[in-house]
Amino acid sequence: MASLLTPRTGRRQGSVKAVGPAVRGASTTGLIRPRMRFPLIVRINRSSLQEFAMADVAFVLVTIAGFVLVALAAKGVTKL
Amino acid sequence: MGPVLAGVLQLLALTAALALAYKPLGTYMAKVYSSDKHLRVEKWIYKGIGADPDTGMRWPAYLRGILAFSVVGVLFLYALQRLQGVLPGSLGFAAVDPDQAFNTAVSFVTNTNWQSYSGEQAMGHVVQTAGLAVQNFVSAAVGIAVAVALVRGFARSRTGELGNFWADLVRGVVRVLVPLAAVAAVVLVACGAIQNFSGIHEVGQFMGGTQQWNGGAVASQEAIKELGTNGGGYFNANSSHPFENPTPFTNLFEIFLILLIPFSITRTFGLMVGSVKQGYAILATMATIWLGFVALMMWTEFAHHGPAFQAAGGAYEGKEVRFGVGASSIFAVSTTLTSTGAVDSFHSSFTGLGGGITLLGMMLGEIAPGGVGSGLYGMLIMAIIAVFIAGLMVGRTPEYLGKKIGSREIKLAACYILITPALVLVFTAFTMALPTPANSMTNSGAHGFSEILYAYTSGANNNGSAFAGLNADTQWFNTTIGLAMLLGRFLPMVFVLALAGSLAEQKPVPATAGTLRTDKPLYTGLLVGTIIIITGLTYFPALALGPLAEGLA
Repeated sequence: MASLLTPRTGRRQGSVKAVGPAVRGASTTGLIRPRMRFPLIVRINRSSLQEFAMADVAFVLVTIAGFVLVALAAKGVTKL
Repeated sequence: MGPVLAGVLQLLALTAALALAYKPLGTYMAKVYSSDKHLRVEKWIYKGIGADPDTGMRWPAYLRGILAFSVVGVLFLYALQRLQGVLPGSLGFAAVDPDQAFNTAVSFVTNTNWQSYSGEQAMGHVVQTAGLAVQNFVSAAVGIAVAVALVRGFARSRTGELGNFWADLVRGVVRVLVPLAAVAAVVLVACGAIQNFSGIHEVGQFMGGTQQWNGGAVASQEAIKELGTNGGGYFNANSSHPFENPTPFTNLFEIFLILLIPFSITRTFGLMVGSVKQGYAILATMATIWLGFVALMMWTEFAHHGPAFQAAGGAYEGKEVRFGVGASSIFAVSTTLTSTGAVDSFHSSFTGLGGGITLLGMMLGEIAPGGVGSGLYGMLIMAIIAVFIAGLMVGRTPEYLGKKIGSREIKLAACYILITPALVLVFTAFTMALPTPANSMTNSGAHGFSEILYAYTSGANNNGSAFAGLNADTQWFNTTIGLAMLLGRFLPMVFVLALAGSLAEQKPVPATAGTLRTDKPLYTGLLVGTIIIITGLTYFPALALGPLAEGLA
């Protein structure tokens, strides 16, 4: 289940003061799109992209390290 | 009809439905996992992945198959989320952040389905259907495969071979999960759950303003979400969302799906070890704990004192009025005593003791009846501990199902029951000691501590439900809960498979007059007591600081 608060997600509810029709139809035309997760200037910032690339490498390594740890535990178990 | 009576009648209807399904499904699964024949579609899959399904595997090879399959699954799901922004059919959603993508990938591969995101605000159709829904099937099949390998360890002798992981995995998906999920999805669609690939709708709200909702293949994902004890919802509100769970009937049906395989697999176990009575003994243990927890939960949620509770007829805060207190109590107990984690109510809003019951359900190791497969192998480990304790009491070498439980077996069982509490308590302690994670807590004091304890208990036990008061979408929680899920899933599997290999190599010991009968009510009572005492000794200090302090205040 999702946690209650997810502040880093992209879209937000509209203002509670605005009143519109109940259902405005499906976005088959592609007109309604969630807002971008970051301001454009941040999204194309080179250092930000590098930071994401570094984070990707880090999490891939963490994943592999986790599985290696399990494999090492299995090797240790054979000596029990 | 009063709400208490309604709750009790729903419980009776649920029990009757599970009893009806028990024999046919349990027998069918025993045939599936004992068969030598391969279906044509299975042969295509084996050819596609380059596996030989007829090769017998010893436990290290079986484990290597699981780890290889799972690491590929995590990396693929991670990549899918990171590339979401450029994939078609993603509803315009951007790539998921790295830490959240890691958390979600590990979560779905480990059958946990902890979600630090809102499905309707972060995931498009491609990730939901081609990534998350696929893992709902295969992660459940991995759990069943490990359980079947352990059962073969008991059933076989003088061989170290536990079967073939790829055959068990593919059969679990093709012959068990897909057919059952297809039927369940049709039932859910007929009852009003949505099933489409609709885009985003902007919907007006009663209080003014608008909200954006997307459609999706919800009913099909909902079916395997419950059937495979996964629990990850298409929407943030999970099974309290009317698109996922439209009516009180679907609510009861979803609880039925959650419990269907975990209870029925005890018959599979009985048939495969050659004694259905052994299966009944395990079933009785599971059912006793599950019914006891349901009764306790209904009591705490209906009988809470105070004018507001009495006026409403129970503790209604955080519960869907469509379902009521009784059905919400049954759902909460069923989802936390299995590894499901789906919710139709906010566990944080339950009474102090009610919240404690959900926590305790997970702390038992989710073995009553537990997750698909993981519940059975967890219960069989406890069964070994119970015969060991009984052996100590009478001064006799313990045996279970004709296999001697020696020092190696007990060491492996002990490692199994220690690893998850270690992960839960160490990660909780670190989090409470650091200054910044506390900013994610909505509450302070005992309830705030329960939020943190619940998060790591849910993650390490591969449950996935949230206490709903914690903002877990931070780099700290995404990373550490991700690690807790990964290690909490695969380290116990190492000990289970090593134990299975050790048992399969033994020659059977003939039963004598002094052998402890493990198919009798006395043993069931001993097993229930062992489970409660071990869990109590492990977690009592943490429970005393959280839900007990709050509930008894």
